[in-house]
This record gives sequence, C-alpha cells and structure tokens, in this order.
Amino acid sequence: MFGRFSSAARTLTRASTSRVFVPPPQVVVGAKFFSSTPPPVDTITVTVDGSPVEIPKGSTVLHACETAGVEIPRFCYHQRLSIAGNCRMCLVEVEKAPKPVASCAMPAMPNMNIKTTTPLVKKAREGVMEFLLANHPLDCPICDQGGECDLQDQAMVFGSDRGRFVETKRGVEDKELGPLVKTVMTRCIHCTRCVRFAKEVAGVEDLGTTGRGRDTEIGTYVSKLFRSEMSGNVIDLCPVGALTSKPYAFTARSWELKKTESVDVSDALGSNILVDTKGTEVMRITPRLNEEINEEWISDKARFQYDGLKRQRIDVPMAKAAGGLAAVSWEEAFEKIAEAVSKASKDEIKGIAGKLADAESIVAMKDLLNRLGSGNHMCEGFPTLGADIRSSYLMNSSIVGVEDADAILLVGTNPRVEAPVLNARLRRACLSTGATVANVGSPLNLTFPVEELGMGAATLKELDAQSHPFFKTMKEAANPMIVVGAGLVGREDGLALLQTLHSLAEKTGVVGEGWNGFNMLHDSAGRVAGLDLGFLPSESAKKAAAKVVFLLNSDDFDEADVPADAFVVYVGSHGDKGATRADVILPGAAYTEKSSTYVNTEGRPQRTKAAVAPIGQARDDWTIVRALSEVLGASLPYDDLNAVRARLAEVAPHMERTTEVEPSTWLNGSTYAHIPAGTTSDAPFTSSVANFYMTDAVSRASVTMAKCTSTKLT
Amino acid sequence: MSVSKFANAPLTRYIAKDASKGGIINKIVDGNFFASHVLKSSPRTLVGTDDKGNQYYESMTSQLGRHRWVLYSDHDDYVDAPTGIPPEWHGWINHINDFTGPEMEATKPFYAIPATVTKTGTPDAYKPKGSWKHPAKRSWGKYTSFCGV
Repeated sequence: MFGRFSSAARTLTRASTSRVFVPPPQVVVGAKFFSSTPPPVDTITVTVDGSPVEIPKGSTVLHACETAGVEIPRFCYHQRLSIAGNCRMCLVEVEKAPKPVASCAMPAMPNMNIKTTTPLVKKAREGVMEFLLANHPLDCPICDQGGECDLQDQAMVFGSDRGRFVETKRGVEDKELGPLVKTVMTRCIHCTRCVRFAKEVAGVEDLGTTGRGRDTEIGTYVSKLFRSEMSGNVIDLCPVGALTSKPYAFTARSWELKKTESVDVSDALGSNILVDTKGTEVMRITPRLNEEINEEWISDKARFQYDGLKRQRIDVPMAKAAGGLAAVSWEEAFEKIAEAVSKASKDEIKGIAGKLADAESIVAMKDLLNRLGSGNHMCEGFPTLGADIRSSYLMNSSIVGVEDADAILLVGTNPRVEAPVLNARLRRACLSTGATVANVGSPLNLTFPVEELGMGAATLKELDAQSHPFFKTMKEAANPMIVVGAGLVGREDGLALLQTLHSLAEKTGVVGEGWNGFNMLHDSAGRVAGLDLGFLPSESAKKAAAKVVFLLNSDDFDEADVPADAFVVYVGSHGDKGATRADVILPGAAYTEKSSTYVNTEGRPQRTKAAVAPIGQARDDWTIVRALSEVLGASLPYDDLNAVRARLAEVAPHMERTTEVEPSTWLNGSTYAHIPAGTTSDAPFTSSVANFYMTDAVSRASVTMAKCTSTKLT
Repeated sequence: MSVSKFANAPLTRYIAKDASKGGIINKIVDGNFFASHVLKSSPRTLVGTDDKGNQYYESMTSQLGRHRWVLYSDHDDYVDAPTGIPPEWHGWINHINDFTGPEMEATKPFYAIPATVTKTGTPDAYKPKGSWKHPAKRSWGKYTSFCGV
C-alpha cells in the first residue's frame, strides 16, 4: 500500500491514462530534464529548429518546442485548460505546411520539421500582436496587471516597434462579477481562459462569449455574479489586465512586492501560497504551484482573506478589568495567570487548540500542561474520538489519489465549501474518469452529479447491512473511497458513526493492497497537527471540570468545554469569540507573521514562513507558552525554533520531514474494536462549514469576506 | 446739492460703506475703488442687477475693455466677490458676449445651482482627507487593533 505514495510510481500511472485536463506528461528524453523513470514506449521524434527531440505520441507541436527548450509565446493556451487555439500567438512554421500553424492545437507528427526562428514566424507574431494591440487600450500606467502582464512582456519580445492602426479603439462595457474580480473589459483579448476555467475547473457555467469578431465580449450573458469558491483564479489566468483583483486594486505594483513562500491555513488542504508584502503590510496572496496539493489554484478565502490580518488584531497583552478588557504589561498578564493556575489542581488546567494553532505552539502547550501534571488538552471540534491510529483521522488516499477513485461516498461533508480545491479534483475524477459520487447527508451542489443516498445514520446502517444498492457499486469498484467530513466527527454520536463507517470500509474493500480510500476531510489547518501530537484528553482529565483554560487560537470552542467560572487565557492574533471570553489575552502572531508547522488533512507537514514581523507586542505563539512556563515554574527545555522543532520531531517524527506524506497503518477494522458500539441519532449529517467565507478568526475579521457573504445571501 | 442731501444720497452711502469696509487707506490705494466710484461715476448706465443685488454698469465713453464693471452688493467679500458673479452675467462682464443676465437666463441648464463665492482662503475652505488641516487626521496605521469588546 505504501507504493501509492511513491511519486515515481504515480507519474507512471498518470502518464498511462489520458484525461482531458491533465497536461501532457513531462517524461522526456532531452537535454533539459533528468528523469528516473524510463521513457514511454510510444515516442516520436521531431525536429525543432534543426535539433531532434523525442516526445510522447499525441503531444502538440507546442509541447515539442517546450521540450526542445524553445519558448513559444501564447495567450490562450494553458496547460491545465482545454485547448482553444484562438489567440494565434503561438504560430510556428512547419515544413510542407502551406501556412503557419497554431502550435498549441497542432498534434506533432513523426519527423515533423518545426521552425520557430524564421522570418515567416517573426512576421506572423508581429502581425498577431499588431491586431491584439489595435484594440487594447494604452493604459498600462494605471493597469494593475502592469509589470506582470503577458501582453506587455510579449509585445516587448515578439511585437513590432510600430503599428499601422489609425482608427478609434473599441469600447466594451465592464462586467460586474462580484466583490472579488474587477473587470476592465476593453483590455480583454478574448483568450477565453476565464471561460474555460469556469466551465472546466470551477464547474460553474457563468462565463461565456457573445458576439463575433470585433464585437466579441466576455460576460455572463445576463448580468449576474461569478458564483464560485475558486473565482479568484481567473485573475491569475487572465494574461492581460481585464480581470484583476478588486481588493488589491491600485494598492501596489508587482515589482514593489516581496514574495514569501508560505502555506495557507484557511482550510485543511494546506494549499501552497505566495504572500506578497510591501513594507510591513501583506498586499495580496497568490497561489504557488504544488502538484500534490493545490496544483496552481487556491480558494477565494485563501486568496482574499488577507485584509483580515489588518483588522481586530490583538497587539498588546490584555486583562479583564472593571470596565472590560484593558491593556497590561506582559509581567502583569503573567502574574494574573500564575495566580489563577496556583489555585487550580492538576487536571483542572486545560488547553484547547484551535483552528489556526500551529504544531510548535501545540507541542509547547502540551509539554507545559504535562509538566504541570495535567493531561487535560483537546483539539477544538474533535471531542469524542481517539487519535491512536493515524489512518483513522487522515486523508489516506492523499489528495492526488482522489482522482484514481471510481466510487466515492461523501459522508457529512461538503467539499465545495470545506475544501474547494479538493472539490475541483473530485469534479475531475467524476467527469474525466467517470467516478460515481454519492452523498449521505444534506443535499449538495458540488458542480458535478452527485447521487443523494439519504440524510443520516439510517442510510449509513443500510449501506453497512449491504441492503443499499450503492453498496454493490462500492464493492465492485476498483478504488472505492469514503470521505468523512469534520461535521460528522464533531457530532455527539461521531464515534458510533465512525465505527459503522470503518465496518463499511472493510466490507466494501475501501482499504486494500496498494489503496487506502478511507479519507477524513478536516475543516481546519491546525487539527491534524494536534491529533498527531496527541493533544487529546487523558482518561482522568475527561471527568475534570476546568478552572483555568488556555485557548490556543481557539475561537470555535464548545461552550461546554469552557465552564462559566473558569479563568480563560487566550493566546492568539485576533479579537474574536475566544478573546471576548478571555480573562487574560496574550498577543500571538498570525500565520503570515511566524515560521510554523501545519499538517494538512492528508498528514503532510508543511511550514509557513514569516512574511512580515508580528504587529505591536505580539510574539510567536510558542515563545509565549515558553515564557509562561517560566512563570508557572515548569520551564520548558527549548529556547529557539530549532530546539522546539527537535522536540516536535521527538514527539511526532514525521513533522521533521516536511512536504512529505508519511504512510500510516490501517488496522483492518480494529481501530475502534475496543470501544463498545454507541447509539446514533437521527439528525441529518451536515457540513461543519455553514458559510465558506467565514470559518476562522482571520476570515471573520476580513471585510472582503464579509462582502462576499452579503453578496452570496442576496 | 446741499451737503445733507449729498450725504444721504444712495451712492454716497454706498461709497462710504464700501470705503469703511476695507479700510480708507486701502481703498484709496486701490485703483478699482477710485475708478468705479469717481472716474466712471458719470456718465454711466445701470445695465442690470442680479439676484444678489450686484449692479452691472456700462459706460461707452470709457476706454474699450474697461467699459463694464460691477458694484458688489456684499462688501464683506470685496476681494473674492468676482467668483460670486452668476454664470448668466459671466459672459457680459468678461466681454465674451453682449448678452445681459436676464437675456442669458433662458440658457441656464435645469441642474444649475446658485453661484457662490469661493471659500478658498477662508476657514470653510475644502481640505482633502490627507491634509494636515483636515479635522479628522488620516490614520497611517497599518492595522486596527482589538479594543476589548
């Protein structure tokens, strides 16, 4: 089963199946690439600018040129979208062809002689560029795309130095696509990348073209908003400034920005992002390529919640005074905490790790509580379950593996709002390879056909008893998959439901040789790290009523876990529910301000990098816990980040091997065998995410996300 | 003309009031005052009066280009008063055309608002949001902090 995680093996599997959206495999024999895998048998040889190059059969001329290291200018072609061939920028000369050919759409034939440096190609490119610029406004100085514009760059490299255009330029009405995407439609060159993205990846057929020739317009036919959780990606796709970011409009120029490679924490996927900063301010967030997680997409929340980093920030330690919370010094805050802790007995001191808690602060908090003699710590939203077996709470098939599944059962989850990027993969699995997707829970609109089996536990029992027709579908599938949502785990009867699901997984062969299709889709970035580190209550602590509660970035805690008379200490970056409940607030850094480890839902540890300094008196969360330990008389033995990471690797060795997935063992149904079967309730399964745009303290503080929420409601 | 009659004459009262507003010395040094009240006092024609009471005079015996002038009704803004000349009189007083205010009245667009004297230089002058004089000082802070409620 561990073979599924080998990237070499995966490349082979992916190369052998042809899918609509998958780019041509990059397995080549050329000077440019090294490859550990043998070249595919079906290759052909073509000549590019006089040098022979071997490419897989069925590749395009453009791919042949790329393989040979020749860059072909293009606007409409994008490797993750279908081929349109309408911009004509990629024209090359092919020997014996009567005209220049559009290389992105032309299949390469054996012994083709491709020329890209001839006067014909130069003239063709200059001609295409002249036509494109004829109707393109000369507003680069006030265009947000300026500096990172494909049209600008390619006009400089491939365009002519003069034009013959004397008429008036065409005017196009701007379209209203909602609070995220700004449109200036006179700049549009009709590459239709946005249309194809919306149709193929996002799965909302909102965008399209109307009119022909000079009157072509991109729009929504009748005026409506672009309703997708991934709509922001069209900003990156747009080769010109027709679609730009509304919140980022006129705030910075691309060459002023400092880019920091980081990881998103808005959902449990851990999408890779670039944090663009100017001075001490985060100006925007853009996706970073990671084929194994997010490819090159990110959700709108990941992209646009950054303005929440500038609002409701906790920048000084605070303590409850007569008229509410008031700023105090660190010493005063620590003294108050020490006094409260001294009054509590061991298990009455409790720690709750929230959605945005990072692994370093969780391990520091766990060590501190353990040194104080308390085993009373828990992850928010994961109340009843144990985490002894890693495979019971991970996405075992990995995110890429979703595409190999052929029968998918969603239980109590809505991937469209919990992890939009994963939903795009599910959509691909469903539409390209024909996977059957079924749902137990509230009806879903996932942008692809979903079979609705039922609402709750009764349907699950029916499946387990093999009396439901979908059982047969799963049983007969080669790679069946179950996706369990965080909404189900958070229920009172979560344990009993998981027992049923494990039993169903055994019966349908969800886990077999080389395949583990039992997947848990978490709804927060901090959860898996907490479970990996064993941030769960000990047996004695389960009964203890807490007198002092440490909320580690925890804002969505259950009221029952924080007694009304408890002394609450909040460590975090934003003034939200946790901070308003707190007696003492200690200012922590937000995810763009600290270098910390997050483990995504498939168990992949990844590290964020500090893009800007923490604001005010805020500090890295783990250093706050470290300082607190000194005051509480239980000093922690680590003083720098490397030492705390060494401790992290001691507790959970996989945390050291970042960006890699550690395979986990499946206990063949015996994970919950020692626990007596519980009773289930009839309440329908629902997703844990009610509003996609507001799930944690950062997104709740964001004005952009608030605007999205209000437009979604109307 | 007796002295008392002269002192009570409307024009005399006007001149006296006008002179007292800006200070006697200033008014004497100011050529406009002398020209409009003494040199051009006769012969002259009152061409019209606008809504605010500004009087528009013409004297065809004066030098061409200096033959039209206005006596402002509101002496408080003697210096800046030209901006208060309503648009319908603008063409006439600036020798752009020969149409008087009442004649231009018909061309007024429906959205026209009453002409006002500029507030530049007064305490009511416009201050942009970044201006130091703007009562609400612009916050250059990069974030807003949690206030505790």
